[in-house]
Amino acid sequence: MPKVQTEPAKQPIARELLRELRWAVEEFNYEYADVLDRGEIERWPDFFTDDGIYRLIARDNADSDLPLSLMSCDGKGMLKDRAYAIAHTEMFAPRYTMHHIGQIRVTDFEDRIITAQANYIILETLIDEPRACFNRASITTGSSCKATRCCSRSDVASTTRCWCRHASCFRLEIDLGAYEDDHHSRRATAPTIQA
Amino acid sequence: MTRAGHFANPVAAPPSEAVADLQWPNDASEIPDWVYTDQRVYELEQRRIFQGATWNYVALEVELPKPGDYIRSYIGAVPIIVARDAAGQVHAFENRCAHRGSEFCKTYRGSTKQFVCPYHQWTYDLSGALVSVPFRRGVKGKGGMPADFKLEDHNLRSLNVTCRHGVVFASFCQDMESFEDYLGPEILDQFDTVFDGRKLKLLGVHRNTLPGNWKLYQENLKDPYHATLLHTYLTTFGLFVAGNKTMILTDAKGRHATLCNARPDGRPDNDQDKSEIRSFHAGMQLADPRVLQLIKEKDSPWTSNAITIWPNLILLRQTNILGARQIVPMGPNEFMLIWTTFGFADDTPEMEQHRLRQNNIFGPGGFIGIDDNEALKFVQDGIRRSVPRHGVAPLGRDDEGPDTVITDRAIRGMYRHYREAMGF
Repeated sequence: MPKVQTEPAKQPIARELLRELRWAVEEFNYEYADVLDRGEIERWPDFFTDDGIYRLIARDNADSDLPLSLMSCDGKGMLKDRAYAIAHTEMFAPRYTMHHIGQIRVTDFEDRIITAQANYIILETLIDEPRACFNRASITTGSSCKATRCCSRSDVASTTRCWCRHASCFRLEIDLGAYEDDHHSRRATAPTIQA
Repeated sequence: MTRAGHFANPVAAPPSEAVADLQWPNDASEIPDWVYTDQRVYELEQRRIFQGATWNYVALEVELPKPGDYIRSYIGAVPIIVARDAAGQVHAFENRCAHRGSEFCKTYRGSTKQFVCPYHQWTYDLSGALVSVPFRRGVKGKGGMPADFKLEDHNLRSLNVTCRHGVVFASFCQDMESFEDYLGPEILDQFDTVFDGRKLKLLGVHRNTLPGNWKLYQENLKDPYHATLLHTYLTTFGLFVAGNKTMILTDAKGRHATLCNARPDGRPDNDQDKSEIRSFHAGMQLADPRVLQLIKEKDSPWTSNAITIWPNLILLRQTNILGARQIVPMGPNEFMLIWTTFGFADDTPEMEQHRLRQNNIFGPGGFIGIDDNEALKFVQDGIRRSVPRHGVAPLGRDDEGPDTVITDRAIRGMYRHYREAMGF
């Protein structure tokens, strides 16, 4: 059987705090999705810290302990290079995307760092083929820049863009550390994390 | 076909009644649209090419390192299993129960002592031989198999298998020429540049489906013209440009080819030739240039070998990425690619990380792959949706030297062989 793709919460978080943390993650993710869906790909690296890691790993590779990623950006420089290529040098047909992010779970809150995960669906519509095709995925936002796992139902990887075109889900970890200092004073009760 | 053992040998291709209305154009540089779209042509290709006298890539041995290990694979569109038996020998056989036809193995890879069809529990060993069937004598003296039922008459049909330097090829044809003869000396030398006999380490596998005809992918890797024009990462950073030292070879029959390029130290100049290349971005700088780094590791004059082995394998050695791409046709308008990426068992951890990083350029979601995936879709869209018209591959000459880059010679060679194999 495939390995479990989500992790249980490490320690119970008080309900009020949990609600605030989840709201903070929602705000972060919704801004992230909005920027991508507007096609402002060159703003995408700004959601990461300088040492942030972004990886897409096929489910089969994750389950088989194979290290290869579909995409692997190690540090903000590689994210910028990826964004620049998509914006300026890659050849692909124009398209619209729409991210739907849900099922946000905060699994840990320790040392001012939120670890969370979410599922998402991307609807992708080619300009000349006005039908949406599904992409399903899950996002993990978290502090530890460890390997992210791509958990896909079909494990068919991307065809044209860097996200999975066929049904798949993956976990993406984003370091929220960059946002802490600005909001440190308010964090204890109601963290307001903004992208 | 026989019930047991192996597949019947293919017969030489006679002209087929089924496609008698399809006439190949007289001009050798023309390629008719119907080779990419016609269902009858697709089905004929399965029989005459993939099930014919060809060696098909099916696995790397490192994917089944131990006795009992197996992997699902394909020859053409046909699902097969590649397995290693207790003695260490590699077998390939159909993934189709001899009883009622069920495609019984649905797991991508694994390890087992035997294969049991879940429908009626017919059980096969690691060579594909039928070893047991339930209720063979029936129950209480009633039912069961006929008295003359023999297990050995119902083995899975096995394929001819050959291995070279850790790579497994299989054929429906039992009296195939040797793999070495099939490649010919020049392409074999290229093959050995990628697989030099050192032990491999599997880094990962990606699979994607592309909305195009499978032959477009063979053509794409036999097409140095596009490589010098379409891909910004190749042109701007000098990984494959027209001005580099280049070698383009095919085997004597035109089936296989290799595009070799020697990358210069540093970036190519923005000379006059480049003004014709829209993908060349003279001012482009990478924030993190580690991805482009070339770590010298082989005694080869080339930094890039793109090798196409007919009919279903692309081998890429480019900078420090090593990969095998298996083509799996899925009807005339779609194919799957299985990208198996590997390094060597004696790689340092730094080298492994470097190879993994370079997959950002050369993997299915890489800076080159995205361009190619889209270009192939554009071609299939154009051919499928517009009024038929022959495409042309007119560049270069068939008697030119191997250092001509702006050429369609290898594509023409492939179609010369294709016509012979197909009877067109």
